[in-house]
Amino acid sequence: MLNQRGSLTIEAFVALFVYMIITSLLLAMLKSLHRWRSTDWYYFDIACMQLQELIAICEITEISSNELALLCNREEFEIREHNNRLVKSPGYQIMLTDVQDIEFSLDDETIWMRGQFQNEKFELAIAKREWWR
Amino acid sequence: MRNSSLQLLKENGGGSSVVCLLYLCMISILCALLYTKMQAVKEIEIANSTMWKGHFLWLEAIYYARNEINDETLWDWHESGEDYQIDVEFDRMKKQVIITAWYRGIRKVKKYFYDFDCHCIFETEQ
Repeated sequence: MLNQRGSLTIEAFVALFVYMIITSLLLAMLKSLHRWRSTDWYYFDIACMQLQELIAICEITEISSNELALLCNREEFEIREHNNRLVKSPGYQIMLTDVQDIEFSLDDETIWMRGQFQNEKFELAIAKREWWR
Repeated sequence: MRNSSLQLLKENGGGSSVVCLLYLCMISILCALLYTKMQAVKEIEIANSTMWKGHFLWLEAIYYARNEINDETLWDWHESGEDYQIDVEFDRMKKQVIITAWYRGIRKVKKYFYDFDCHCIFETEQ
């Protein structure tokens, strides 16, 4: 009888331990799903779309690793990172915020923008070669 | 199930069995929450993917308009499919091009002015 009671207690503790593991796993999954796509990333998507549209309308005149030169309706603009922002100058039109280590490159007929947004790496095809003549 | 639980409670003091049952309830609630959250994420992702596809359609239309202005041909472009439609209409007299792109219920229309001197399009009239 004692043995039976003892074994039942051990079983209960094992069950509790397993439940704890399952609970923590489920909580972790919920947390990761919640953080998976925060609202900021949707703003980031919209900003990227605006940037792509601007580049599609304008002519790209020069690509360097930290700067993109554009000719929009006879006016020259530069897109570069400044104080963790992607800005269009002259003037100071902020295209993206919370960005770091922005680099532009031309690979496989596509202009890429790579960097970090809120300390997470991203890679975005911002223009196809045919868009700039 | 109910009988066996009650039996456990009666025979073994029941403290740990009650905790186990409570844990089971908690896990069921968590599973339900997870499922709801996953459904919401799935719906958002579908909407996001639709938005991006519509955007690429829009970029294609802009590229076509720019190309036509560059070649000075100004052929209109109308293309439609089951879930998309593109219209690029040039107005030589007004020197403007109206671009319309529609993809799965998302419609975007914009009017651009063009200039043959620089072969460019721009949003506001100079």
